[in-house]
Order: sequence, then structure tokens, then C-alpha cells
Amino acid sequence: MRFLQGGDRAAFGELYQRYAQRMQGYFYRMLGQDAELASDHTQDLFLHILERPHLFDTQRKFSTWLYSIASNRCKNVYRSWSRQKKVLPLPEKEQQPETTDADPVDHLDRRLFETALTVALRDLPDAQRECFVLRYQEELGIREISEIVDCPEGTVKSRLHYALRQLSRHLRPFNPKKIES
Amino acid sequence: MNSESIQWDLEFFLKSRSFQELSPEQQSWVLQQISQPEYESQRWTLLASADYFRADSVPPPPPLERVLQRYERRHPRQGNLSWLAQISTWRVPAWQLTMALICGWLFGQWNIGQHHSGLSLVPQIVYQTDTIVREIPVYIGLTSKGKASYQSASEEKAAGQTHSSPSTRPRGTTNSIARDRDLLDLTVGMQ
Repeated sequence: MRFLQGGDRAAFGELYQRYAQRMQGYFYRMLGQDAELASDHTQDLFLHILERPHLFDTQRKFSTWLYSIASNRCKNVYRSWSRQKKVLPLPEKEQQPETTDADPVDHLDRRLFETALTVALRDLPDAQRECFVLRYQEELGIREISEIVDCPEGTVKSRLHYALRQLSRHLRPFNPKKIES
Repeated sequence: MNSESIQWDLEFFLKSRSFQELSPEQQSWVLQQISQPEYESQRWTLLASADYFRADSVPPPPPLERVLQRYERRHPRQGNLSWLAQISTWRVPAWQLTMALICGWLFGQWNIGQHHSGLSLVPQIVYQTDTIVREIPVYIGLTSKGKASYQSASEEKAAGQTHSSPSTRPRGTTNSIARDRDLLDLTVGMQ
């Protein structure tokens, strides 16, 4: 990032190779698994970095800064959708080719579970969804998440706890052990 | 121990081992937080979600070239454009008005330059060499001899002496000198 701040364009290419896929995944999950929307926001995010590299504080971790910008962009999108009375859309999954050796019932169960998880994630409050995705998809630490979402670590843990509890209630029908609480 | 630290430890247990794999002390501690079925359910949800996140393919990000192209479009390189093209990229609102102002300013600069380039007006004193005499009728009273010394101006004009100079007139008398002085005064007065 220091090289980029010094005007080295090749450094930007290196950063893009390292982080573009992760940012794409984050936007993809946070914005209703809309690939096109995720691509647009990934582009805008890196364009922002290219245009304003001086905004980065070299004392901070680059990935934290990157996720902070991405998180703020998602919040802006949610606000925009809220004004338009729009809800987080459900993904339109492409039909994947059926494998001959896979059990059709298992495959169907898996597809149903994926849809249910997507719906359950969509129904989470924005702050809880953000923490859950950062923790279990991006596999970030609690401290880093607290810096990204700009709140105390305790709040992050609390949000994760509530998110997991709500998801487990939503997904209970898919649990093979069929535990009744 | 507050709920935040409990959640942290609970998450570690949820990710790492089933309820049966916990030690009796750990089981009793977990049961203070949540029930056993709830523990199993949350553990299953956590592991299934993690599997899903790992397995679900995320579409690839846009290629780097597309990002750079967008950047180039927003910030065109100045060195690759001719000066004319550079001017065309300037975003000046109401360019007709702007051009009119620039033209007006340039004309003003040119005009000021002309004013200071030696063609300016310099006051000069012009000495008039010719004397224009305008004859005014002067009526002089009769002398003691009862005879007029001079004719009137109208009479002289009628005689064809409209531009006579004082040197052509008869001299020799006091009145003639006085008349010459009067004419001279009048001439100077006209100037």
C-alpha cells in the first residue's frame, strides 16, 4: 500500500490479486448473492483505493481498512433499499448439472438447506449478518471485526451469539439429528 | 463472568467438540448457558454454515483491466493527448460565455497595449504663423479740423481691401497708430 501511495501502479495490481476475490465474496454474501451487484461494488471499492490511496493509515492493517470501506458501502446499499422499500433479494442460482453418482435426495436436501440458509441470513438484522459473515465466511478475528464495524468486541460477540441462535432455529428442520428443544 | 466472555468460550466449544466430548466441568459450565439440545443445534448450524461457505463458489471478481480502464476513463493521462484534445477535456460550464469573456479580456489587453506603444496622444503647442484679420468697424470721432482721419471698415471692404495688412495703410498720424494697435489687440483677442 505504501508503494501505491507512492504512485506505483504495479502495487495496485498486486493488491487486487490478493484481495479482489475476498471482497467479491463479501459483497456477494452481503448483497443477496447478486453476482453482478457484487462485481460492481468490488470494482467501485478498488477504484476508490486507486483514487484515494492517501486515505489509508499505514499504521492500520490493510485488510481491516478494506473491509471497513466494504462494510460502509453495504450499509449505504441497505439504506438505499430501505428508502425504496426493497428487501434483500433471494439468489437466483443457476441450475448446476446433476452428478450421476450423487444421491438425488441428498442433493435436493443440500439445495434446500442452502436456500434456507440464504433466507435465514437475509432475515438477520444487518449488523448481525455482517458480523456472522465476517466471522464464519471471512474467518476474521473478533478484534478485527470490532474495528471493521466500529463497535466494542463484546458487542460483536453478542451479535454473533444472537445470529447463531436465530439461524439454528431457522435451520432446525434440516438438522439430521432432529433434536427438539 | 459476563455473557460476552461466556459467548467467546462457548463459540470455541461449539466449533471444536460435541457435547459428549466436553469434560464434565465443561458440560456443567455449558449447561449454565444453554441447554444440551440447543448446544447440539447451534453446533450443527455453525458447522453446516461453515461447510456451505467453503463449498459455495463465489463468482470471480471483475478482471483488473476493467478496473484500470474505468480509472483511465475517469482520469485520462494528460501526456497522451494533444493540447487541443486537452482543452476539449476541460469542463467549463457555459463555454460560450467563457469564450466571450476571454475574447473581451484579450481585446482589452490589446487596447491597453496600443495605448502604451507610442501612438498615444501627446499634447503639442502649435504656433499659428498666419494672422487672420477680421476687420471691425471702428468709428473715430472727428478731428479738430472737422475731417475724418479714416474710413470705416465697411467702406474699406467695399474698396476690395478685405485682407489688408497694417503695413499697407497710411501712416503718419497718431490716430493711425492707435488704429493699428486696436487691430492688433483684436487679432490677439481672436487667437
